[in-house]
Amino acid sequence: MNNASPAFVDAPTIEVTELSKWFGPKVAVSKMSCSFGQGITGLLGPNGAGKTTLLRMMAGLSQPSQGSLTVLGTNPRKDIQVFQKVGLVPEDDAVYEFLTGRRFVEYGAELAGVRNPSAAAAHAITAVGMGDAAERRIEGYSKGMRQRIKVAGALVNDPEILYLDEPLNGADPVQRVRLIELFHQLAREGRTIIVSSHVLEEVEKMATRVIAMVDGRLAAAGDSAAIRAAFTDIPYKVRIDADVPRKLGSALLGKDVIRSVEVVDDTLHVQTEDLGDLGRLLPPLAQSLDIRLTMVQPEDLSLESVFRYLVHGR
Amino acid sequence: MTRFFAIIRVTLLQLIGRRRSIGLLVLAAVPGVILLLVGLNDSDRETEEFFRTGLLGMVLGVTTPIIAIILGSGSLGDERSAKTMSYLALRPIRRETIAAAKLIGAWLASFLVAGSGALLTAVVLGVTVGSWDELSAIVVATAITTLGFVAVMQFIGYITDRAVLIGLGYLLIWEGIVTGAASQVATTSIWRIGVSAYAGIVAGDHWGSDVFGLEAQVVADLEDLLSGVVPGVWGALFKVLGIAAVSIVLTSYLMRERDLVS
Repeated sequence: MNNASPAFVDAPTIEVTELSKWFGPKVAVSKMSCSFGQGITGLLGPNGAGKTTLLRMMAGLSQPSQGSLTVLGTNPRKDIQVFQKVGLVPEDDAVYEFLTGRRFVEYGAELAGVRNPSAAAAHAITAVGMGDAAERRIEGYSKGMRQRIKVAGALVNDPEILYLDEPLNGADPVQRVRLIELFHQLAREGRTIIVSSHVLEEVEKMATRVIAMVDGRLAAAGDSAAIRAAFTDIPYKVRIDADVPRKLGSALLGKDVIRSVEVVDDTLHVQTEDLGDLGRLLPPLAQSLDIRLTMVQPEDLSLESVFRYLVHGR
Repeated sequence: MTRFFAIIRVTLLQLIGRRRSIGLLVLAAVPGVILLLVGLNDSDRETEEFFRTGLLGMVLGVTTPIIAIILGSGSLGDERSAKTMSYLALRPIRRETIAAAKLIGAWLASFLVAGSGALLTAVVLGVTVGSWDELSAIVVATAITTLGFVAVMQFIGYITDRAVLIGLGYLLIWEGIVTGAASQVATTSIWRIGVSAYAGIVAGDHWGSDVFGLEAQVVADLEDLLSGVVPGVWGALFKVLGIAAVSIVLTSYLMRERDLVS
């Protein structure tokens, strides 16, 4: 294990070592090694990257197929007392619809063995701004309200470690800002918060440190700025439809902004490191050559393709 | 203990605070309604005999098991379908405690529904025939039968989302056909265990070791339903408590050793 790697922190509360999880032939997480400490760490990756599986293992809900992990120095599969100190907001709509919001959170407090469940529930409900709707049944809640009551349910035992799986799903912009502020405040209090998301911008707003995953593997780790910089170094593929593609391709070849040019079936495919520069270059160049552009479209701007590049270099 | 009772309370709300309870209550009331119709037309002796030879089998072998299968499957099955298992399990509570509390909650829910039907049937019998001796026997037998089925179904409901289908198949094939045809395996039939509790109480033999105290008529009436199972309420109770204990051990083992279902 290389503890100098940005995948590791100095004072870890969670340590993951060569962790793998497979379901039959499908490998969900493959030899992940990293650690988490106080503050907010973003767990970033496209859908199906293995983020939820990793979170479930760290939460003790799922048994690793291989490797090991410790949470606050203990194995969460063996020592249930560690659950006193953790909270989970799952991605699923995991609520008891027949309960009121207050009763749902109180139930969480009772299960956690909190000394005064009613007071703890009231505190958590206020923290997520659900005081007005707390006496209503959850079945009548909007998606964003359900998300916030789930957060309250996870906070009710005052956890040292908080796992948040896509916590801003369904929340409106105002609720998002409020939840992000809450997570920052919880982090300032010295808690370990792990936020899983497939949206880079979302993670950037919450986390200072990011662990990026793709295909169940560690793709990149570091602070948000480093991850963002890594993304901007990636060449983008752009498809260009024009009436004379070969002529336009020849003209583009000599330009600094262009990394490669290819013509396939009368369609021009170029690679560039800067979409903005290409956008500024293309129209005047086509005009000067009397070429008509019919379509200019980035081919692979999905987060998944960006992650794939980080892992596989393609 | 707060946690234990909190789980029981929420399980009760989860299982009976729903529309399906209305359907199950109607189902539970069917034997009572049938008995009322028979009682209005037949003599007291004929009504009593009809109750023991036919309707008791319907209460303990059909309506009560169906109710217990549906609610027992939902005990952990509803947590699974609502994806709330993590909310329950990610807490510092022993898995045995969770399994036991869920089982008691589901049993109470099932007994409330099935017991209401059984009580209605016993009251109808009391009103039409004038015999109130059966009331406690049928209610206790229903409680024992529901516990047995709920214990089995909670475990099946945890491991598969087709528990109700499996439970109904088990009820029809094993409990209905096989244990009726082969008296050697009848003692494994949960509803016949319930019948044995009923027989034990009606005959005044609560210890299950001595069948000589049974009234001859009761023995004759219940012979087919018992299918060779020895009457006795305590024996019946020990058997279903054993089933419940095995269910709790197996469920908590899976919760501890395998991935938590969601």
